[in-house]
Amino acid sequence: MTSGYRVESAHVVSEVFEDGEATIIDLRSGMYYSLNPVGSLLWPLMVDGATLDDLVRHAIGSTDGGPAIASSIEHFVAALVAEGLVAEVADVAPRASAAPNDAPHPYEPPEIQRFDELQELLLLDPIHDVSAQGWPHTARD
Amino acid sequence: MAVSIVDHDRRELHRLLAEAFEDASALVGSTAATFRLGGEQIRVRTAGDALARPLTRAMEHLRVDPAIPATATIDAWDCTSTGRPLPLLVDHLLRLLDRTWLEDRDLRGELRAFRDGPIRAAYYGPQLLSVYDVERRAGIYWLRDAAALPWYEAGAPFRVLVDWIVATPTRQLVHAGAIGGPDGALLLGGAANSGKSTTALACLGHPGLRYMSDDYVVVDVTSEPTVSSVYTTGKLKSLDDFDRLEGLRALVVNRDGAARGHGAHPDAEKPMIFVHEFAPERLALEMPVRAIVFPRYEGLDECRIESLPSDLAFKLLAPSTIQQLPATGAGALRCIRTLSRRVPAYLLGLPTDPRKVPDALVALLAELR
Repeated sequence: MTSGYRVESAHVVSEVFEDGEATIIDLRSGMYYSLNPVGSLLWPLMVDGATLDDLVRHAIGSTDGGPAIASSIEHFVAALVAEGLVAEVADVAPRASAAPNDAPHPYEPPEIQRFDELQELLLLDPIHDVSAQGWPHTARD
Repeated sequence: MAVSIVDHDRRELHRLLAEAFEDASALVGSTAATFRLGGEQIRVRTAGDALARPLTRAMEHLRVDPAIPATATIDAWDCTSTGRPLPLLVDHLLRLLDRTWLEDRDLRGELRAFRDGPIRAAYYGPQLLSVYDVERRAGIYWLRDAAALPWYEAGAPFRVLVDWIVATPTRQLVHAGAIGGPDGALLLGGAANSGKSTTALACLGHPGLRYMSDDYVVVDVTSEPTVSSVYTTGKLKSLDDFDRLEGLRALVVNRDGAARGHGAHPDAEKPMIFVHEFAPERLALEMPVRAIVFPRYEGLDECRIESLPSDLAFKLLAPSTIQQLPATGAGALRCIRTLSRRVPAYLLGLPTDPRKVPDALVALLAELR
């Protein structure tokens, strides 16, 4: 066992669809996240737990990226940890290397997108939009 | 230490609770009724009658002949009104869960040890336990004291078990309201307090519209998306809100609790009505879905309707369903994604006067024909 990263399953629900789109929902906030294609490739490994080395090797095997991609993956993981979606843990079993993909995806740095603009719509609540008097009184009245 | 239980032990949890339900029924008698809900016939039994009306009142419009064979069952019981204590091992498990909380459950109350097995279990809210045998399609609902049933459980009874019973790869309990028109329905999406309930209730008096729900519906995307009513509950934030909807305040069933002011008091309740009790002819039970509408209060003179892209509709509809229903995940996300891709979506900018909402929705439904 070694240190690595695992999805915070107590408050994170996720799914990677066949078209590569990853949906992540933080149950604490209702915040919706999506990942770009390379991020979507790496996310499933972290559901069970993966070391940084696992993630880099998987990205190299699945994309046309070379060893230089390690730093971008490190940044990606740090962003996931900062959002509270993934935790650094000490009990990850390193994975065997996967066979290289014959038709590798083009590499682009993995990214997470947080839909902040949705927050206004998702969390329309009396504190923000409707006063204690209820509709039609806004909090600004 | 995390609770770890194998399938045999998971089944034991269900068996112990089911046996205790039978014991309780032997002590105080039982009630039974069948409800056609989301394509299922669910046989609901309660041990004694303390829970019978509170837990079935919101579904009365779906009651069917008890001779119709059930496709799933829910047995509900409590300890205080029946005199049957919780089985010792279950009592100890719940005491452990009360201490460990997120160590063994997710935020919605789903017990992690039961996530992938033949039994699902969630322990949530003020010590409510729902356990479901996936293979036998048999649910158990337990709380310690029927008199302590939370008001919101009476408004949306068994929603955790209902979700587990109806969920298939193409069918899902969804956190949304719905109103029906002459030949199709509008799903009303959005988070709590976004305007779903007011929009749905504002349509009650319009002759061209029917009430389906203000909070939860079953959506089926097997072919043409359809929506089914689950509860006839209508809830608003305050009693004053009902004054804006002609004649409804007098129909509120929990005036005392609601008078304490929602959110300001630990026992405060949202005022509720049950539409089937005063306007059964205004209900629609199942309809094809024509569009998803996301109400948002904008304080306008008139309604404003704006088209939304399908991916945004998915992102708006999925989170609150996932947040509220234990054990929902990939299947629910896929179902909601399919729905959002098959029907158009709109933002509904709400006006100051809710009486202007029905005509705007009738016009939208006419455009969608």
